[in-house]
Amino acid sequence: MPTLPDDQFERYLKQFRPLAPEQLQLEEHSTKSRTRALAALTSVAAAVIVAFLILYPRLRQRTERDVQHASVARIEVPQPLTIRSADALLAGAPSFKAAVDVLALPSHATSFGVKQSALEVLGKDSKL
Amino acid sequence: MQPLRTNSVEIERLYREHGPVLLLFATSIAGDRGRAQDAVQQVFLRVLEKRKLDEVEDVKAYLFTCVRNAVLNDHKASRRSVAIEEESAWFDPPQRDFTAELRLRRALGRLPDDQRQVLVLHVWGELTFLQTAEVLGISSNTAASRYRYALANLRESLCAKEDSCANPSR
Repeated sequence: MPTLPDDQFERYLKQFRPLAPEQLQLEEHSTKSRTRALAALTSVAAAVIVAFLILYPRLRQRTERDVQHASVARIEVPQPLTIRSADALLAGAPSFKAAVDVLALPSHATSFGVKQSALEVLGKDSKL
Repeated sequence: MQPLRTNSVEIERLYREHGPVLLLFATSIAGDRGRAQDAVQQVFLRVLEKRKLDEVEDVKAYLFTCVRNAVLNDHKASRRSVAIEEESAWFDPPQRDFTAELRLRRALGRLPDDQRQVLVLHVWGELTFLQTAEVLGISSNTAASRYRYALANLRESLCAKEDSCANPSR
């Protein structure tokens, strides 16, 4: 049986044209990309909100503490010190310890009221 | 300045131009038209997404390589041999001779995978042996040799019982 030489056989094969594929789904792809971008944006926003919800109470607590310390520092020790004025001081102070600090070291109230306890200082003094 | 290749219009042009042969190539590896179609679409969408085509010198060979990788990465495809689907055609045959189309498809299916891939790339993809070698990761001599064997086997398979090769216009 006669067979075709290579080049003719190639030409014969090339007469069979490959069928075209389905249309490229670029629209669907761009929609998917948009959806993905939106999802990423939403997650970032959610993360920011969660972080805010977690950090906000702590920040608020710290701010309140700072305000309390500041108010302690601003307390003026009544002269002369009476039971009534001491009661008023204790009522206005954020804590008993803070009130004692102010009473013990009135001239250093601003610095000691926040950073150092008078009870600790007195404790150290007694060791000496 | 090099033209910007990676935009949707250009991608669509490339798809229209090379899509049919890429699909044929993918089908010749996967054996399944549906999975081949998915692989080709996946490659084009990834190309569009990553916008890498501007850096590629030989876009055609690159697309064939991507399609081959996409098909082979499919776990099932890498494990099974090609079974030709009887119901879905690969080619638009001359003179609408669908019997000849089926015969050709079956003959291609009987070829070893490596020979079939070289044949598709060279005949329908019109890649040189150098490009074919690049796509398949072999030497160009190996590509040429596989092609000769593939052509001989295909001709034998097609012409052994019928006279279809001796009279292509039939």
